[in-house]
Amino acid sequence: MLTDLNTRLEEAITAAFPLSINLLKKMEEIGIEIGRRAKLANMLLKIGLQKRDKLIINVLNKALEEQRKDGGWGSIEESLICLRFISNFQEENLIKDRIKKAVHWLFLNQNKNGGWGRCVRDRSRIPMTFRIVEIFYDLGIKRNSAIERAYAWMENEWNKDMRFSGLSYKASGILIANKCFMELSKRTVENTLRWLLQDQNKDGGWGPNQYSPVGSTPNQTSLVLRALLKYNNPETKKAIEKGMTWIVTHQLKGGQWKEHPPEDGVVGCVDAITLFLKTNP
Amino acid sequence: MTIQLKDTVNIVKRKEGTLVYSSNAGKLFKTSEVGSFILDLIAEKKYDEKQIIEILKNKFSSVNRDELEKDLKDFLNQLKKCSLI
Repeated sequence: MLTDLNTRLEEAITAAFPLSINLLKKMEEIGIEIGRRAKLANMLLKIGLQKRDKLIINVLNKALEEQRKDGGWGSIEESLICLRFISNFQEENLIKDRIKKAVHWLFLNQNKNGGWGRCVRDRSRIPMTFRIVEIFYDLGIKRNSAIERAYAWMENEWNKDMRFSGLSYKASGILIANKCFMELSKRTVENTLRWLLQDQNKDGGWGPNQYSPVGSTPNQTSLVLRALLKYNNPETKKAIEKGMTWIVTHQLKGGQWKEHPPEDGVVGCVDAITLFLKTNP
Repeated sequence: MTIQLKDTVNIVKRKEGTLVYSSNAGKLFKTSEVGSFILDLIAEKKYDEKQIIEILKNKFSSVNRDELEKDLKDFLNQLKKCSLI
């Protein structure tokens, strides 16, 4: 059963590859902002596109060209995406230096309460904060007081949120962050895991939450799967397989998923598929 | 003459094989491990046909040279036909 699912997931990646190349080319032609291009290029590297590919080199050059002197890009969100992308080339000295500057800029723009928003004046948000903590972790940055403040803020915010209705992307962010620098309280993690499993829709996907009229979406489903795959146990296994099946059955003919902007669906879903295939070879 | 892949060719390496996409032709191809090895050599942009044969001969010493030459020619013809080189 799993082998069959793996084959379908591999086919989904094969279908997403030409679509993503064409999309990236189009973005280059019409001069789409670097954040969107870097996000897609990062995904292409993940599925095995070569670093020396002309399209990738073009995105890298543009990202380096657009990095400001202070180390950031246009916004915190764009800086996070570009940092993630250029970190694929961290063996090069010039890029090591650029990464250092970007990390420094992100620390400088942490909100007083410990979280990060999408841009400098934005309020702190769990989806931004967990992704920043995650990249710091992936870059091997040592745990420090700024990171501890980010965790304290995320945990407090999520516990408040969960008392009302909660949102699957926030729950996923909490669980992903928990696998980075430090463990959040056992109670928070257990409650969040339980909350996510109960929040799965009957069709196998996830939406913002089970009360949302939106229903299952590629982005919410793929993010939840990315989180649950870090807690692969008998309890989560069934939910993960159902979720992955939702992903493959909702891929459109051209290799895309129903999301806007189009790269968001493909990046999220391919990310979840790649992680699944890595943990379930 | 050095063999070169067209700029419109993108290669993705998967565990199950290598995917070659020509955005010009809008076509996706799959190649074997040997095909993927040859594509790697071509992507380095520094080898001609003879040099590739020598490298293949060293890597696949059990296969005779004539057979290797014929297989490489066939493969290169396929790449040309598909406008990949």
